[in-house]
Amino acid sequence: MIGNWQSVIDKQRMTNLIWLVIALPLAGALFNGIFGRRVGYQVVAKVAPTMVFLAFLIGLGGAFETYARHGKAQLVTLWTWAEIGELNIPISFLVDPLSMTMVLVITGVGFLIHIYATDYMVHHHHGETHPDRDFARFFTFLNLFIASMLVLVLGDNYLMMFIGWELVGACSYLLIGFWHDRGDDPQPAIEIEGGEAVQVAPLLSPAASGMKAFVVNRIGDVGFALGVFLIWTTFGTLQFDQLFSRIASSAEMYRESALHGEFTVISMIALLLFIGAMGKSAQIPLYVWLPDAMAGPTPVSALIHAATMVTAGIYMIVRSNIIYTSAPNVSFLVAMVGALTAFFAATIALVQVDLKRVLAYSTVSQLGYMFMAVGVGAYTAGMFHLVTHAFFKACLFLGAGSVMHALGDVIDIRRMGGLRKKMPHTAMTFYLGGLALAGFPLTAGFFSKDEILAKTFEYSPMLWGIGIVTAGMTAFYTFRAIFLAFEGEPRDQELYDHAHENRLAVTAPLWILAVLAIFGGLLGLPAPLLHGVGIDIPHAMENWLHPVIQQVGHHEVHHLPFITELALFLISGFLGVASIGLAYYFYIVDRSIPQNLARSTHPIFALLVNKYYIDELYNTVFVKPALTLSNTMSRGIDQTLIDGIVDGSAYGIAELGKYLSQLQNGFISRYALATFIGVLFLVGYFFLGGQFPNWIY
Amino acid sequence: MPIEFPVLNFFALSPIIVVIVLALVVMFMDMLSSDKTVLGYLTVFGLFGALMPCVPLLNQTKAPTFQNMVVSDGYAVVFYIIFIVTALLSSLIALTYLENRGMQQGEYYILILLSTSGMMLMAASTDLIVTFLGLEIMSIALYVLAGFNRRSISSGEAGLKYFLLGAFASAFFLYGVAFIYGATGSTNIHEIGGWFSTNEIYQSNPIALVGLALLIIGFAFKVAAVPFHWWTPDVYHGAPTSATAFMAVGAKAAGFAALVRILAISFGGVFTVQWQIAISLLAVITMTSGNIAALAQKDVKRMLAYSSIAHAGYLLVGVAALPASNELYRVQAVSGLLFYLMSYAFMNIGAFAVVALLEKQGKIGTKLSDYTTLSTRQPFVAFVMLLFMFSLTGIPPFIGFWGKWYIFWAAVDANLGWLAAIGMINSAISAFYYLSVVVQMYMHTEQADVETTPIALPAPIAIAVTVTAMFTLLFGLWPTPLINLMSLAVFG
Amino acid sequence: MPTDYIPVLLFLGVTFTLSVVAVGLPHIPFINPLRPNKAKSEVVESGKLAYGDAKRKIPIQYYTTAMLFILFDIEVLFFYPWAVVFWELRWYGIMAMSVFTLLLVIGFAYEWRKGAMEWD
Repeated sequence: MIGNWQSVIDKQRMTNLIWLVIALPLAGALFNGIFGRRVGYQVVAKVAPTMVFLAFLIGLGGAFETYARHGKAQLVTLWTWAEIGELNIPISFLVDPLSMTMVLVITGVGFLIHIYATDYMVHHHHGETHPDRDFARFFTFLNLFIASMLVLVLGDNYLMMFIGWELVGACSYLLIGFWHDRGDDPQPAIEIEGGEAVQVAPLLSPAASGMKAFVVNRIGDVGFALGVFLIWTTFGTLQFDQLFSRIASSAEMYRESALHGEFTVISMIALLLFIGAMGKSAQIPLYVWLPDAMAGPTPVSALIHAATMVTAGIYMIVRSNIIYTSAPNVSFLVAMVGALTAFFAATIALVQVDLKRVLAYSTVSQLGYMFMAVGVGAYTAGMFHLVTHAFFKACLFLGAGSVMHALGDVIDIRRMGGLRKKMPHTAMTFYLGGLALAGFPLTAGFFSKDEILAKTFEYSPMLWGIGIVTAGMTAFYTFRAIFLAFEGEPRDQELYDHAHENRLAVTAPLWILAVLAIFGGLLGLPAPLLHGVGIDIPHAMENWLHPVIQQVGHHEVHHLPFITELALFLISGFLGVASIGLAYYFYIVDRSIPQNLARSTHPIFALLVNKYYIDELYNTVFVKPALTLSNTMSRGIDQTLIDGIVDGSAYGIAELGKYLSQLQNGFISRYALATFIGVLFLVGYFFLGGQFPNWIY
Repeated sequence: MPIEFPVLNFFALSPIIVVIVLALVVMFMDMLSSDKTVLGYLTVFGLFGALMPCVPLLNQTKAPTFQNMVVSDGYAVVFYIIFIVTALLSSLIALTYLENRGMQQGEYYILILLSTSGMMLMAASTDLIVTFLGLEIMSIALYVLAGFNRRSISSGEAGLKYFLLGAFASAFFLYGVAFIYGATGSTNIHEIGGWFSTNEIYQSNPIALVGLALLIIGFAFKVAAVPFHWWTPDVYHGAPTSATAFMAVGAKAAGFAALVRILAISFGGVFTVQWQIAISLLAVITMTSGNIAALAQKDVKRMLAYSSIAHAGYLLVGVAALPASNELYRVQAVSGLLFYLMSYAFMNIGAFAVVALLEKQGKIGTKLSDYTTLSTRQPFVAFVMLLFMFSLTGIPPFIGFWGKWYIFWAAVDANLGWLAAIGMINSAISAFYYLSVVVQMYMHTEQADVETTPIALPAPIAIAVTVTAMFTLLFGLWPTPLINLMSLAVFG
Repeated sequence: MPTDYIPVLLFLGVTFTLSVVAVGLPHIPFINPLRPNKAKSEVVESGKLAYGDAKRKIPIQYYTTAMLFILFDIEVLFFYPWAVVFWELRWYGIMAMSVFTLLLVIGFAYEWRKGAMEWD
């Protein structure tokens, strides 16, 4: 029996089918995009999650086989896609522990969120069900996103990664602006007893938020693209295996010259790629889009803007670990930016009154942790935190969505309170997810965050200081939100009366994610610490990812002394518990304390509420001058051209189907356009080599 | 410096010359005669004259002439026959159709003849420039034909649409020629093929590939392949029915004539994988979308327009089968294509003849509901329409069955079994809309409020439908002589 | 191989830059300060002030004459090379040109007869 099993593994069946992981969600997107409206929402609601689930199963098989061959990377080449002279880019997928980790997170968490969304996008009123007007469009984009994200993580070269990078950006844009007909959402001012009220800027409309996300991401993308070009001109290849082995041969040299203050070409590449990561993963100074991205439907916030897409920057750096190890100067910058972002975002999260925005800033902050980890060279720790973060942040976002769903889209925590009695499952899972985020001892978030902090301490105690303070703030603001929403007296009786627990499709993913958020830490138990007390359990995540991380030079692996490890462990554990206690005291025991605090530190409070006025600053310095410039420039340009472009991108892919079916309408300009699109396809196909994989026959 | 006079084999081009001279004669007669019907008969009989030299040409030596720019090899001559037959049958329809609408004018026949000469030139051409010349001679005449009914808005619209989009497509074709010339330094299709076989390192030349893509696009437009088909429904529907019959068959055959020759000779040994896949995919989407769109039509003329798109798809299956593993299979693919085109000429022109007969002024009478009770009002016409519909569906023992048989068989031989399967599924789909015409004609006779006035059958249309129906049935029962003729169609 | 196309790329780049510059320059206020006045915004065509509506019907004869002109103008162009090598081509040339001229004459006669040159 074992023999058979082994031979199945040896054949790498699932690994060779890895393209299906992308093809299945893509097929789902096509099906829902073309037929979604006609077949009705129930079919869509079955097709979309099923596709992701099947992809998950194949990913599971692939991961299993990767494990069976001891993490050895395997290339699965479909066909040579672009063969223009020396630039030879095959469509091939890299199946190794890193990509499989990402695939499992994307499809696994993605599947749960799909399930959740099938109910979230349906409104129940008095026993009647009303699916969202654009139910099919939503799932088309969601499936498309999954496929794009998988292209990003499975591609075995930087070009495919870049294409995935762009595609997920486009999907993110389409999904943030999903309710494109909604306007800006004005927010009531924050009243302070005995003090001056603080005005809150209105929330951007979904369409504007999507635009903002897209534009900010484009800035990062330019850096990323330049980095890819620089790789190509310097090393003549974009394939990971070739490139990394070329770099590895002289990595030591690069490292030394960088440490001697030189800015090598590798440093330049690392910096440019990091600029891309700043945009995609919302780091200072390009983090501003992520909080506004909350204008999208909550499953989108959970999937794209917490669990998966925003971690693409981390994935990219871990994938390029040899580049960053060869550029210690840029790595230091990465760690600094990460630490600052973590701290900075956490301070803003302390005072936000919008539950989803608290979580959004906490995402920015947690991503900062991950960057700090990869910046100090703790790639495994970064990936570990990525995985646990995906669990607990998805859980929290979905919980917030569940609350929103129950309250009729109200997300302002000032109007909640006492919801635990009405929504026991949501509250319970939110507590569990919150514990993980707060770093409560023995939860998943505790282990991963503690590992990052320990590694950072080894690198620079100063960075560790920033990290530990941030950890305290994280625990505080998380439980502030939880206590305000779920405990105490209802502050809006009418809302409270209408609140109700959601259906199983919503609560089941919540529970699964909550369990993962608690027990996910088993993936990375602190081996050195356990070793110190005589228990030898390996760090599963580190062993698993070990083949991906390349060592530079032969500096000996030294661990912190056991006593230091233990001290750090205890400090962060204690701090988590203490901060939760503080939040309990502030928001349950004596609610006048935060009010007094806000009054006595009014300018700082106002500064935090207004997010340091960064949006206003960017508007004044960048957006307005740019708009003025473009208005001047466009005065002579045909207005219809611009209209065409804006309309074209606003309606998106789902409208394309409708548009195409209307083409036989007698208008010759449409015919010419359609013909031309056909021309582009055919010429493009021929230009890109004009070949298909062999399996088509 | 003495000038070397090229040896010109005028006899090789005699069918084309006869057609052109015939056009000039008709033009001349048009100036003198006020009875335009005579011009129609003159055209019909003159076209028989053009058929005459085709017989000895089939057994002639097949050397290119006119400085290697044209060749009257078996392939070209068989196409001459197809074009002449098409022009002949559609002129017969026009004789009645134009007369009934008061549009009997000499120009119609002149344009048909000139267009035919362009088609023949395309089939004979061994040089991309001459192919373009033929393409334009054919197309410009067709544009005018499409808009020939000056009193009908939809006809004028059809002419203008066809012209604008046709010019668009011609530009792509010419652009492709430029690219290929740039890559290989020649416009002669033999020299292009030779260049690739001697310069193997350039066999992945993207310039040549893009050129090939643009050539395929140019022809895909002319044969109405999806997604370059947008003009087809509107133009076929708007144009006078006799002209629609002519262009649906003639222009399609001409496009395939040039496309197949260029692909087989210039690109027979290079990029075969690429264009085979591209053509296969075009075939799939063309067949499928043509058939699906045809299903929804309530107007027989428009339905036939969409079905003509679907037939372009079947024919593309034959083109995709060209890079077969051995010479025998390749000959089978080419002769299958030609057989299909010939059979399509018979059954499609026949069907359009019936449409033309039933059509009244102002686009009335082409609706599916207008075919109700046809079996009692005009039993003969209903019967031949039934033959044509069965044949277009591909039901044995009609000629259309054998056309599909040969093409799909060639695809299977070329390891394109999946493509043949899709083709067969598609012909099954097409049965729905073809047979719905039969159902209308035969099964709704009992209703009270339907029209029962018998329909007169003028002689020219009677001849046209009789001949086409005869061939449809005859070659359906015994396809051997026709397929033997098609197997003479080898490249010189 | 791809280096062969670098000139094409350069050419594209130059074309693109030139067109952007050419279109963009007039929009830079510094170079082209926008001070419209009545005289400046007047439509002038071929040195003549415009009058009437641009969308008006033009007699069809205008087009037929223009087309005839272009047709014969271009066709007559073929006489030039013939004239240059007239003696070398000898009877061969004369025969070929006779056929060509015959075709032209038939077309011309046809147009004449059809009234393409009548102005009312």
